[in-house]
Amino acid sequence: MIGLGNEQRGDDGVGVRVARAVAAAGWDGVEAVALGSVDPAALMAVWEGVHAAFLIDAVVADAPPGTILRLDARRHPLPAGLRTFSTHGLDLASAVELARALGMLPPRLVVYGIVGRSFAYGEGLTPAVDRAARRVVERLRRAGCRACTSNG
Amino acid sequence: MPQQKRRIVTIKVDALARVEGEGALHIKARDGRPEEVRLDIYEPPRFFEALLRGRNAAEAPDITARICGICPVAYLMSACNALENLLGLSPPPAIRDLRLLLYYGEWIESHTLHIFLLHAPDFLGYASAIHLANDHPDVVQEALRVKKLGNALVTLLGGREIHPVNVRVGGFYSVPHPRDLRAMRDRLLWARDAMAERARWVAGLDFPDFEGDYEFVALRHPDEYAILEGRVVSSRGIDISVSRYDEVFEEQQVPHSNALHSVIRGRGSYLVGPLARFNLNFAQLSPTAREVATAVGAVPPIRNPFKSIIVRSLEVVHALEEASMLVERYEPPERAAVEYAVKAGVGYGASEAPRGILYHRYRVDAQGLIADANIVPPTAQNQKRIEEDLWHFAPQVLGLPVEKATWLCEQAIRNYDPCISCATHFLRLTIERVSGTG
Repeated sequence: MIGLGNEQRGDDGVGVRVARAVAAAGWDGVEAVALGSVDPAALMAVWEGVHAAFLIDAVVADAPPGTILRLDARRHPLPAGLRTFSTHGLDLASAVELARALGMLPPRLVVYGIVGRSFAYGEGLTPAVDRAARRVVERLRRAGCRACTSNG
Repeated sequence: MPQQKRRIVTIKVDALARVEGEGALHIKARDGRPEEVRLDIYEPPRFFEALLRGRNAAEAPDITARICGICPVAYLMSACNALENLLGLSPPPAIRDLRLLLYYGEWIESHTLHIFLLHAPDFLGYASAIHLANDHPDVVQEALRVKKLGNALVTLLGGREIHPVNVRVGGFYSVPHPRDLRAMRDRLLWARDAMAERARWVAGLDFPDFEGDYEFVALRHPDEYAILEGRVVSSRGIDISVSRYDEVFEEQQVPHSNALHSVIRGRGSYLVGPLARFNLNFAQLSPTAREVATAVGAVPPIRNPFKSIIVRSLEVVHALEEASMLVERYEPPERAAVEYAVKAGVGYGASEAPRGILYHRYRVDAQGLIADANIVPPTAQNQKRIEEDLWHFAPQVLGLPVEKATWLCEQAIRNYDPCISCATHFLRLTIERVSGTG
């Protein structure tokens, strides 16, 4: 489970928030990692050898704040129009597509994009985004259990 | 009088791609001759120099490292150099070696990212690294592996990959165990050989036929291919200590950019970065880097800015080879840092960031607080030169279809691997064609 973002930029920190919650929960067989920027090599290193990877990031989309977009990145390329917020270099969609081109995607890759509202300086999520973060943690708990069960 | 047909071409890129930061390019040409060339840097100004005023000088390395996520080590080093210059500190050889090693890690990261993910696609006609990866997965995979090795060096010495936190004025907060450094030697040697081979591949790309009339400016050090420190020298006779930088160079404001343009006083633009270092300090490159350079016919002076990609790949070979020697000979220093007493005065420091000279100057009061700071990043120094390249290069491409001309102009900008976040960001290009009588 990989949470992306910057906690100093409002809702951009939602991925990191989810990663912290998952790490604190300590589920069996689930590792939570927070990354501040999208480095394709770092992403590939994190998901190398795992059965399933879940990426959580803030997105900007024409939808109300807190909307959760679930994308199965194994089945479909991430839409080019999906604009994730990244401070440096490649955005998430480019990094995932680069890994796909290199044949280095994990067997299962699900992206949860949480629509953010404010990316201004400062900590703290807007309430709708905060609620969405908790919903995503719950969905990950169920998905994590399924992944563990199905893999023995 | 018969009326002549006039043709006006405007090339406009509103957001440049594959550069670090946000900028735009605007070229207006009439009858194949540029009338206006503007590299607009619209990334907002960041006011770091003002932010530093009143802060403890010891904080300068960590604060200024936040200017850039690609070259934070350069900021750490230039800031330490400036403050150690003021304090009269000279860290012992083992500390110096570790700083070099950390810096090589950054060069490896930054150069491999630019060469293979940002710039090589231009030469091969790919719109992005993803397209390059589809056709040449081996090239991209290997580049990512080498980049990761650079990241590993930065993590080991700096505490983390981006914005390392382990460097301080006088040395480091902690130093690594020799075992951890030696464990990297074989991977560094593998990477050196892999990149030597890859440098030959890079040298075989097709380069537009273009040369600039540059004054090359780089640091020079008596004992090494300067990266950590040195005197400021140029291909037209400048040879000064860093403390005289402001006497020779000045920054000018231009209306269309949030980055300042640097010039040599009374002379104009100049070029810093890989081509300048290579042309001024070629003899100090590592043996393998020189050997490959000679084998592919890349010998100084190289005045074709498109060939900077070859020089970057040779510098990666150099960094890997030097790093492999440093990890081998490393013996930990007795103390991680040299202690010092606060002192008032002015300190000057520079180092060779991946994109060229990064200059820092601090005036510090008797309490050790910063009274005044000046930071001149390499992209600001090159910005005027980039525009001049476009003035001269544009006539070669204006007759081409708009997409092709735009592509080549963007590629010409990417020759500089501009770091607009540092200078302050980078490019969108638009081409508007107007024909009419007049």
